[in-house]
Amino acid sequence: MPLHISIQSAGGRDAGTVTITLAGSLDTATAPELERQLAPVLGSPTRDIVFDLAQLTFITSAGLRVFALTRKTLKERGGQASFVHMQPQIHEVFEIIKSLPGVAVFKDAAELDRYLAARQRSHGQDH
Amino acid sequence: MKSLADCRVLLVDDTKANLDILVEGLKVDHKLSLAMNGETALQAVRRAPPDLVLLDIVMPDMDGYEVCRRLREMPETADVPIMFLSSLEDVQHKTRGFEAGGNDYLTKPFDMLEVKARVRSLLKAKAYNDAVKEQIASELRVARDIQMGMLPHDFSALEDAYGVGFGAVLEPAREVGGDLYGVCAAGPERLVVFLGDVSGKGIPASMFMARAISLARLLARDIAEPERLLARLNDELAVDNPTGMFVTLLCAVLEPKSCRLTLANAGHCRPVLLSAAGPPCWAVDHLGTALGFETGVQFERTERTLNPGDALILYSDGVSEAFNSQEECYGADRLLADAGACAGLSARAITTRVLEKVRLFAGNVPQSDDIAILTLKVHPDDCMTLVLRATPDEVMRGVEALQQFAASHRAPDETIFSLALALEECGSNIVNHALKRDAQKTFQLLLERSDDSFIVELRDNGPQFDPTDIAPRQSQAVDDDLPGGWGLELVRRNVDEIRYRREGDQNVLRLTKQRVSTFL
Repeated sequence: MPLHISIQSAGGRDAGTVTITLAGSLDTATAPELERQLAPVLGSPTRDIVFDLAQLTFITSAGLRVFALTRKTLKERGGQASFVHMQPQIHEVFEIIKSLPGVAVFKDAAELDRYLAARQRSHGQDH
Repeated sequence: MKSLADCRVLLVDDTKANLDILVEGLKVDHKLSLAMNGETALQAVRRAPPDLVLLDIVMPDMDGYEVCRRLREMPETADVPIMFLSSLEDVQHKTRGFEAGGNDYLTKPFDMLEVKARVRSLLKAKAYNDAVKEQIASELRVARDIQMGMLPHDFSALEDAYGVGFGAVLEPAREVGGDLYGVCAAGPERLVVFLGDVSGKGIPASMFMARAISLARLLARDIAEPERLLARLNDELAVDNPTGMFVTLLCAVLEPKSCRLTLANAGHCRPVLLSAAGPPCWAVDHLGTALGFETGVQFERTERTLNPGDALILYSDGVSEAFNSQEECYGADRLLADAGACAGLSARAITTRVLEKVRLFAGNVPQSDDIAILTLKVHPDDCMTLVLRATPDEVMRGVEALQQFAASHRAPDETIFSLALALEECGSNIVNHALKRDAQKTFQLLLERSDDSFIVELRDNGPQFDPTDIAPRQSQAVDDDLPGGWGLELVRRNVDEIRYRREGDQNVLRLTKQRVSTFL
């Protein structure tokens, strides 16, 4: 059960936001690879990461752990980890970390866009 | 056959006056394309492949010889007749024209009547050639359909009646081929399966294949022992065999009730026995003699007992002797390893996956030999066991087997997801903590099904650890740095019962999940 990872940095208005699309199974065998690919992103000044989970079909605590560590790093620099397009079975598993500070779950791209736009404005005010 | 009026003639000459004469002479009888140099001619050919090319030799940039050579290299014009029309009349130039691939050579100045006569003659030959080729191709297509019709494709009736699973694939390297397989029900107690490979390829092999498969199916009805079946089949094939062709064949007889498997080999590749509980191995050791050489040959018999979940993979040497671009052979070792990674999968999935592995190995090297695979799997009944090494990949192999097992028992998707999640968590715990990721160590996975529930049992030889002793976490995690214990929480949420016991030096963890239940 493989995991496909694609990482994209947004330009323009959403600069500083990285979108990570996951497809397949995020489990004990595949979580280390996600962690490895996340390391350079977390090492950069990135404040916001959006995980698009539309194609994610399976997740276990090994995957939650990677998400939890990601949001911790981002929270420390005033950012957060957002999750969008979660399938119902993934959502159930996600309950465990859903209410952590620095975690935001969105139904769809529109909801996420509205949120990010507002966030972008508040970042602007920080500087 | 195409009429001569429908034939397209491509005229290539750098002198407009010459083209004009040819157009004038030929336009009434044929469709024409014109080109005034080599490059344009090659482009015109790509647009509309001609039935004949009239080609000047002395032209600037690319001469006629070169155009001719290039046309021969292009698949669409490799067989198109080419006639040189040239003022070069010495024998050396003519010879060179034929060597470049030309079919005819006419010297200028020419008489239009002769040009027209030669054009008609070349076009008639081309049309005849095309018609013969098309007839052979259409006959081969029908032959292929007939040959494929001799092979069983729908096994569902046999699967239900005998409690086994089948997967099969046969892909000839050409339209027709010499590989064959069969599955025959011989009374309520016996299933005969065989897979063979006729010497050679193409039409002769397919004719002999038809003979061999028909005889084998007939004999399988009455002969219970594979070694006797092969001996009889050999006698029948050897008696009237003027061309000296032969077929290698592996025959196995399964008694589904007792799971007794008897096998005999007539010079065929050794089948793989995929055990649910151990590493894959060869199901027979001896090779035996191929069928069709001479009568009276004896065959050895091998006996085995299969366990629920075991699979037998028969295949032809198109699998084991597939080559990649480095001219390496796929080989028996790779096959055994790749087949081993399929333990726990259904017969159909095993067949597909082995074929994928071979394809992946061969890369873009075209298939040179017929490929056949036939997998027979004894149904996991209501339980199956797997021995897994202490690595994350092996945990996921167990998860995949569980998914297949639950799906084969028609569990709802949510149930499969919950079971898979619970097994991943518990398996990862064993691998990471009890066995410290020591790949030499193993743990056992047992899957069971009853009318109303699924049971996943895990056994390991690690230090005593009772996960049910750990107090349940709060339903929402707090913002802590160490997300340990989440796994167990997920297990609790996804199964209906978790039971632990220490049995000798083993931890035994038993998870029960109702077939249909709601998320807790």
